[in-house]
Amino acid sequence: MGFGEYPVDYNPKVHGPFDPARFYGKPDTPFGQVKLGEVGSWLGRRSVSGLPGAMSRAFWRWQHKYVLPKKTGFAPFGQLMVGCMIFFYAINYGKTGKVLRSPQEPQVPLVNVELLLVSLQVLSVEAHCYHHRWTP
Amino acid sequence: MMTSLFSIFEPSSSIFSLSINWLSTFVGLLFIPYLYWAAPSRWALVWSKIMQLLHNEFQAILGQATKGSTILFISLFSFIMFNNTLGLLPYVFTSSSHLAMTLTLALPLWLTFILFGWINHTQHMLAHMVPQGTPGLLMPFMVLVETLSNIIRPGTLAVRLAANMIAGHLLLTLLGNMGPSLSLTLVSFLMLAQILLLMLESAVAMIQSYVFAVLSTLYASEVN
Repeated sequence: MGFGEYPVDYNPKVHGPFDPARFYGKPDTPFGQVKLGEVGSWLGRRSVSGLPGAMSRAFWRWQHKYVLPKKTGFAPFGQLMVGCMIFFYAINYGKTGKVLRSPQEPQVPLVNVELLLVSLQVLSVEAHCYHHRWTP
Repeated sequence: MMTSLFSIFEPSSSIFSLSINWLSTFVGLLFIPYLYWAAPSRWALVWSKIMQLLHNEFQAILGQATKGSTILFISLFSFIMFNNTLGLLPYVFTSSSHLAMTLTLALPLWLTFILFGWINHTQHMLAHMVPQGTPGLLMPFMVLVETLSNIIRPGTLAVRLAANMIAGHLLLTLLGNMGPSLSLTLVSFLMLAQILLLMLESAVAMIQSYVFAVLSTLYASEVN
């Protein structure tokens, strides 16, 4: 399967209109149902080349759920914004965390981690509630 | 460790000092709503309304002769707007606060306009050097002034955007860093001030992207 092509297993006659969020291959056992002894062989069946496709499907699942519905709300934007902040906070973690102060004063963290976590939780709960208001 | 105020503008991350902070330039792409179903979502509708509005605006400046080129300026506007507004989120890097970014947009744009004008409308370009009704004595001087103002255009475009972004971020950071040393009463005032400032900066972020797009449209309209 090349870039921009349909998945090999997709057949319009069988599957109908193409859905970018759907996996058209033969489904493997869901990870939650894999027995402990079979985890090794299950992981062995994963391949790096399948990763872009999986990420693309996940992206489209998110689009279907939050962005593309006719009556969508602020949730997708909130999710993206919070995601951005977490990503850039993580990649700059070594640089932030401490403010510039004079040497005799104790170092005070710039970020209150507890407050950040609480606000993230509030945001995610709000986004969740907001989303479910639109679904019957 | 935040060693200086300007470290918020540092593109290098703390992951092997790689400059992956520049990734924020393209995060805006995720915010653009797709047209997937026949009935658009309300965000897609809002988005296309904004695009239509900008198209009408830019088409009026460019004139009917140049059909279709508004897409360049609309894209420019949305690109800069996403960069500016997303840069206001905490921890998110603002690539439009860097001359490396703004000059990369402004310089090739200006250069192509100027070259296009010189090659295709030489006389028109030279006539632009002397505005109508200039007294004969002032003409040589006006040519100098017009040439200079033409040459500094990419610089002014780039510096205007970058300086506006830097100023806003610096102000927010400066005030924000005062927080730990203030009393509770003063902190509440500080928070109010920060909210007001953030509102102002959100407006500036959108206005500056509009200014950039409109000025480049004006420069484009001058060369034909």
